[in-house]
Amino acid sequence: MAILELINLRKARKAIGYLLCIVVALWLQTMVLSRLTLLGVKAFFLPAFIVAIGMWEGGAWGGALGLAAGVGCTLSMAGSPVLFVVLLPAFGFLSGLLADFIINRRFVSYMLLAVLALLLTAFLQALPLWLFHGAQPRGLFTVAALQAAWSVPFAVPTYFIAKRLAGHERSRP
Amino acid sequence: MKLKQYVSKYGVRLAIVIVIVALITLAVTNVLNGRAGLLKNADGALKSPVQKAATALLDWVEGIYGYLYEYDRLVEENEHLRAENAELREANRNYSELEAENERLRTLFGWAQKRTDLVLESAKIVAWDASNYTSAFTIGKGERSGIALGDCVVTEYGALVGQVIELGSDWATIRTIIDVDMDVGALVGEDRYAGVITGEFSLMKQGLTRITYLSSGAHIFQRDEVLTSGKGGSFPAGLLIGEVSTVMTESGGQVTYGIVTPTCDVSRLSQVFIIKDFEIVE
Repeated sequence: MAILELINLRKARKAIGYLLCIVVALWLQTMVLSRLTLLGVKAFFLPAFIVAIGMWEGGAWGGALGLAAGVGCTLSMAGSPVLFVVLLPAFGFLSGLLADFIINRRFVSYMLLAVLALLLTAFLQALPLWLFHGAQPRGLFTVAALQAAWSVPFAVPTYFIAKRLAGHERSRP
Repeated sequence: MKLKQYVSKYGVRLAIVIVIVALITLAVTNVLNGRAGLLKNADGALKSPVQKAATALLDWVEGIYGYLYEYDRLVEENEHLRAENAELREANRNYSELEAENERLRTLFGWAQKRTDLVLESAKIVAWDASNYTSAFTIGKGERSGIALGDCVVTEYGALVGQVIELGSDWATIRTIIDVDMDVGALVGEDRYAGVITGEFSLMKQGLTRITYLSSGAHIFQRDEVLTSGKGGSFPAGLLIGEVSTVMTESGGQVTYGIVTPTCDVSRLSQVFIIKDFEIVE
């Protein structure tokens, strides 16, 4: 009982809720979206979810949950062992920081940040192939742009899921 | 809280944690070298049954979609024939699936009789990699079935599919022949010129690969057969990789390489066979 008193149950519940959502998102990503291709390209929407979490929960939560999602991506996907571990917490933290100090938390602001995050992720995934495998940049970055575009429809519901999980409107500090 | 305080309070701490986790991830990846660690194995073991169920469900949905399509075409016929037809189609679909698997195994049996040096294990594909920059998939068998890292993977016709690059107790990840990181020693044409199959991104997106580093004086032509050379001992010699579809000359005009159409259509694979053991012919 004494240990339970040390735990902020509201925060613990929220953290578990977010982690479960991240696990579901990862399973969707690897099991369903890997079969749903648009012009041969697969969607990758997890960065948008982390942006949504960061916007609604702030930089600290965004960073921590981004790190958990990054580790999950590393476990689930072949190649790029470090990329997601670095990129997703950075997205979570930066989106939280921006939402706390610079931009509002409206849907349009979220979509803008989410699209930027999706584009950056896709281009950074493609970059090693250009630098180390001599892949033609045109084809490579077309795939990256298509990946970001195909991920946008899946990014839309994540905003509302994160908003629902956050359960309150954060005020500007 | 001001922006500067916010960054110094959360940003610096987070950056330190990210660096530590990234370094640990890198170290673990290097130490394990493809073998699944405790966390990854647990992740794979947890996902494996779900992946199998999801694959079965998706196959079922695809089956339903096919059924609806056929059903629409038969709407003009009378109710009795339509119901009967649907029943027959469902039975036929189940039969076709079994027959297709049976056919694959029969073909494999015929091929395996010719290659008695090979020890094979069949496995179904349970998931494809979510990345657009690799060509890899997961099978529902692993170390417990006697599969090892680096094992070669083929179709029922003995055409090369790829290689085991990650291994868990009940799952394994296969890198396909068209992946950008794939390197396989190969022999091409009637004169069996040596070369190396190396993936290239734009070709990978078209389901193709290329043969490069050809031995000096090599002449390759369209429709030339490409086989594994067996050099290095990772792959058995004489496995069919594909055929040369285009002969190219690089910008300097000196080096020739060939675009290879793999015999196995990677996008249509559902079942593969892992070569667990073979005789190395030097």
